[in-house]
Amino acid sequence: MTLLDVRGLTIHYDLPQGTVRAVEDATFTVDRGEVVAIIGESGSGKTTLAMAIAGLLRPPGRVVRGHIYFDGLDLSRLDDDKWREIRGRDITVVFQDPNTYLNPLMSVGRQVAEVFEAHGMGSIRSREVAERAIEILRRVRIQDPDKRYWSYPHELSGGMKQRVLIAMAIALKPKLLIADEPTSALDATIQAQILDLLEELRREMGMSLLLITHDLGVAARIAHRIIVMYAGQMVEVGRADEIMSDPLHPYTRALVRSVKLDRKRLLGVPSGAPPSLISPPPGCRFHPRCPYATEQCTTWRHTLYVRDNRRVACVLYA
Amino acid sequence: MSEVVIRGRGIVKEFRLGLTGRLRLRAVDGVDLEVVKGETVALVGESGSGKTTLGRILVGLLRPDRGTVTYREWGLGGRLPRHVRARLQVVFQNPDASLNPRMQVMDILAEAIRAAGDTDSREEVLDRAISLLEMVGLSADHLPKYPHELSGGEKQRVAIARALAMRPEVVLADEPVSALDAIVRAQILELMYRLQRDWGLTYIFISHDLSHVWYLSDRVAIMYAGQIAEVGPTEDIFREPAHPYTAMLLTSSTSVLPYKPRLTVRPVGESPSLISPPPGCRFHPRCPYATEQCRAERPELRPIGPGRLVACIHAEKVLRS
Amino acid sequence: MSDLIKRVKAAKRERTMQMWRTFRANRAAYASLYVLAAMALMALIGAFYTPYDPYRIDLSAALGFFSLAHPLGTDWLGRDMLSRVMEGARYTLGISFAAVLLGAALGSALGLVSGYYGGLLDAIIQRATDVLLAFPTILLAIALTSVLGVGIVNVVLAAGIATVPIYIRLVRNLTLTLRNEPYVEAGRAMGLSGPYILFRHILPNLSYVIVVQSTYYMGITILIVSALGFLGLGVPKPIPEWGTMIGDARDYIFTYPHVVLVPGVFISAAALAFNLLGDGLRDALDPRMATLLRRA
Repeated sequence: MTLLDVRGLTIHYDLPQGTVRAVEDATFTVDRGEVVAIIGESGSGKTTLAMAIAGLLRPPGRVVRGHIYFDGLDLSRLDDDKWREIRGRDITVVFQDPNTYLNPLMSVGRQVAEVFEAHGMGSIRSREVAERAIEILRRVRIQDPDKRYWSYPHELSGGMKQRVLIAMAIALKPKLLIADEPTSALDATIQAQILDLLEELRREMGMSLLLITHDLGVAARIAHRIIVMYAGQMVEVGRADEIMSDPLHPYTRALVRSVKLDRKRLLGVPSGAPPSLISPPPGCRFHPRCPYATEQCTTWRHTLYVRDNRRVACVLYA
Repeated sequence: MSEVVIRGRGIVKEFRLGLTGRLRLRAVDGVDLEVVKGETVALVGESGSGKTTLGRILVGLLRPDRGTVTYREWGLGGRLPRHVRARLQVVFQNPDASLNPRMQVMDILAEAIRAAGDTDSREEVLDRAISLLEMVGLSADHLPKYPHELSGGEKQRVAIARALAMRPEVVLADEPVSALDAIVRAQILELMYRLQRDWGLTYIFISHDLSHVWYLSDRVAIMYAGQIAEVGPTEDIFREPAHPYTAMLLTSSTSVLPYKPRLTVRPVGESPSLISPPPGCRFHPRCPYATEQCRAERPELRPIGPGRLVACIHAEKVLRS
Repeated sequence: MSDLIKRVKAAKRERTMQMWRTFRANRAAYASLYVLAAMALMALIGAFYTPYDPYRIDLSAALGFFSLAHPLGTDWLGRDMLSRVMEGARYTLGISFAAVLLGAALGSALGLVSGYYGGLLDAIIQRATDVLLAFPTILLAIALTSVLGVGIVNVVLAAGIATVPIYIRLVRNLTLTLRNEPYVEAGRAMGLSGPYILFRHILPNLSYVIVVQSTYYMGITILIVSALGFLGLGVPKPIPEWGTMIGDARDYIFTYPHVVLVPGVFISAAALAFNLLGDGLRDALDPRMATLLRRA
């Protein structure tokens, strides 16, 4: 059962210095109840992609080509009013830094209650809405939710604030939760609790989770499938365990090798850094760093080849 | 046998908060630690564990309020002779702030080379700068560049080259790769490993990423709320944690490690406030093994196996379970 | 070998050129540079040549409007306004420049020491700064002139000292931040001395802020100097310092507004030009700007 179907999505940023080809030809699906992780380094286009799906892409960013079908609806053709209705209700987002997204002058409970009010489910002052907000705070495992309702963001730890943000995101039982680096700013033991919470909520509520992260370990912990992006293009898609144990694309191999560290060995990871997205190399964007690169790679057109359960964008698998 | 180069005893460091300094935050609370020549000792912990403060104290960049630190025969605390100071170098986390934005790589390295007292001749400084860049995998082409023209990984390489210019014996590396992307992280870690292998450097390696600790360190000190929870050989501790917090940390970690710890401890709760830490063992509010005694007495760091120390009265039970 | 050193130097020059290009891209700032250059030139010429003697009284020509003989008209004593503005430029701009120089030098030095060394010295300097900052700059300047008395040097002292607390606070706060920058700490680990670090690593990274702020304060100081002149606390009559000119002519503001407007326009133009110049310098000198532009 497909919930999200992204086809040929291409996003550019028009800057004075040139056109940044942030996302090229992204094509993938997310099933109902599925956890999909988009993984990539900074500048890989993963966040741009997520923002576009959440309808939060702002100029100079623009969708050049492609479609985003959500629950049968073509999101790329939606007007702002319709978007507001869907965002926050059917599609919600949790960001990395909760401080930026919480109002410091409003109690966290009321901020959750505000979500109900914003979607026409009663006034923030009503008892019923307050009770629903407390119920949601309990759902994200906040202790003493009726007391915490009146806490202000600065009285809470980073992990607590992230829970509040998650509470706001799940308040209206979304079909899709997009989590953009939700745990990157948190300590290990807190990160694990938040990831466990997201996984539990997903199971309880049957929602889908699109996880944007640079951390392969985070992805491997809760994702069913992983999409690996490099320099704006999808290079590999497959089951999380398979990608971790047997990466196919040379870039994915390097990525997996760089997190599966053996004690005190030379690692043999490729040198160099991802290319500029204003003037990316021709052909495969990874070829300048790739140990298997041949002449062919400089003229190759980006294609995802199907191989068993996997899709991989490399001529080695053509 | 192993030759101790840095020896810390009873280190306490407090920071005063608030206008009047009435609030005291005890960042490091009674830590003993030794650093052995040629090894990498990792300081591992979450934010507020005191690992960064301890690291700085161990290389004499911060003065402890109580306790002593010695580097070989010199006490760290007051001014050090220049040639001794040079033997203890640092590499920091944030590559963007590690280099003076107004200086070219040439100037940055030349300053260090001159500070090391190697040479003052222009030609020799240039030669040495080039060989330092080559040691860290860069080239003479990087000399004219300003920091903002370098990638994160390149900046960190220059910072390492600057430290190497001093011909250090001990390098404190404070989260040297955490601001970098995965593949660049691996590149820098590999560089650090190579430099250690080739030059016999001693590292104090501060990290929150257990796979990096696994890769680079010989011994690891697990820190919690300003104290050492457990210290010992990395392999032993990762395989068989003796402190419940270590087990919780290993269970929580999203780092890809070659095997799971023998004991899993489900993560609950958060690190305590350092202004008013819980009495007794600081971990007891989150600990599944906590008993009355844990709430009352601070556990002493005690031996539990070869080269291992642990600050938990239930360590035997933890090891057996 | 020497080829490499050449490349290092070329890169240094290229960076300066890059700053200049960034500056020029800001049209308003670039234009301000011309306006200010013109004013400086006017002040310079005014020291040696003015169309008329700026102090010569000719009651027969009093309160004349703009004409060929007197392009900016004449005041109530028949003195040529153009000549007076040219003569006064030296005072208004010169005094403001000297005052800013004084304030910046004194304030930055105190702020630097206060921020880097801390301790008791810092506490004393900071409490004194607190007290001074409680007064608006202009009030402080007025209070100082009433103590020091009227006179050119005293105006420089008053307007300069009035900005000292602002510089102290600014430079101290920046020093506190820079003192903990990793590259400063790395310098300490190398065994570099305090003064060396201060001059080599902290001051260069502060200096652009001081330059930019001083450019803004030039605008403000011109207004302060003029205000003192207007109040009769600044440069004494009959010297045609621009503020003094306005103060002197205030009786004619409704009947013959040009006697007030002419110096007023010069004051505003100078203040505005310095502000726009400050914006341009800020963008050009901030090393982070280059990084941000590259990343975008």
